[in-house]
Amino acid sequence: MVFQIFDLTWSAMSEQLVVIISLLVVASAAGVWWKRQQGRVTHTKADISPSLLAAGHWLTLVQVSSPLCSYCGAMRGILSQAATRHDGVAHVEYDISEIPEVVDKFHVRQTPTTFLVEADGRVAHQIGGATNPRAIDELIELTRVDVEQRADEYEI
Amino acid sequence: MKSKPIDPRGPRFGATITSVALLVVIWLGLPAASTPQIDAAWWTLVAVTALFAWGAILGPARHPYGWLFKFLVRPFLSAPEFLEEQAPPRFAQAVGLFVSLVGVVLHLVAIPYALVVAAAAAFIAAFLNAAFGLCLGCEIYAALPKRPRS
Repeated sequence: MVFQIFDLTWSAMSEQLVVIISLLVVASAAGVWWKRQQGRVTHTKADISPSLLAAGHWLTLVQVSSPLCSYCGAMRGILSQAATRHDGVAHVEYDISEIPEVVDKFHVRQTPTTFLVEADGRVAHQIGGATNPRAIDELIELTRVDVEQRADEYEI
Repeated sequence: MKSKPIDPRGPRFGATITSVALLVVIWLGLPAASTPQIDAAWWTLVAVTALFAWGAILGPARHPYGWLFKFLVRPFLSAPEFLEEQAPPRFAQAVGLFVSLVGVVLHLVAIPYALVVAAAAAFIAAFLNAAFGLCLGCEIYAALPKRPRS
């Protein structure tokens, strides 16, 4: 049966080639699109309840994970190390089922999703998918500068 | 009992072999796709389906592709940047099993093009996993309908 391959006319073979090449193109385009979504930073003007945050820290890295998520473990390592590197920064992790109100409010549709949350609950940045330690460092620094600038607007 | 974590490149290596096997199904199945019969294309998809079932039931570490990775590929790689649990790739195998099984069964009851369509769908997922590291279990919430507000 396998030898049928060699009996095929050119038109039948070109049909197979067209289908297979189209599949490769479509799948590659989907892959490039998915890759670009990974680590994408978005902003929603909303708060996360301070009761979900680590007390006594100016910034909490809130990670939303799920049981079937490959990259959640990797992100756990990246975020907990970032929390150790930066003063006053903590890392907490929730399962997606534990915090439905946050999932709804911020349209969390992928895991891991990470929020950089200031002590009062204000969400500075939202990261969809996994990202690298340098990007986390940059976002923490950006938030620190922003918080300091806002503090500069008052006398005490 | 919790299973030990694995090198995430293992399942991606397996997905590469699966992608090629699914392209073989499409290549063999397309010429006769409108008149389903028990041919080499169908048997190839049966084999792919059986391997998906193996991975879904026993997990990626106790799968032929896992052993191939461990003994033929792993020795030439540097240490992994991170490890992953076995549950996510097992879930992906279960999704692959479902899609390919639908193709196998629909082809048996003589539904035209079911074989190649199922193989194409499974190919896209396997290729995304192999080439881009897509994790189906991470993205599944995007596919779910929005939770109704209580």
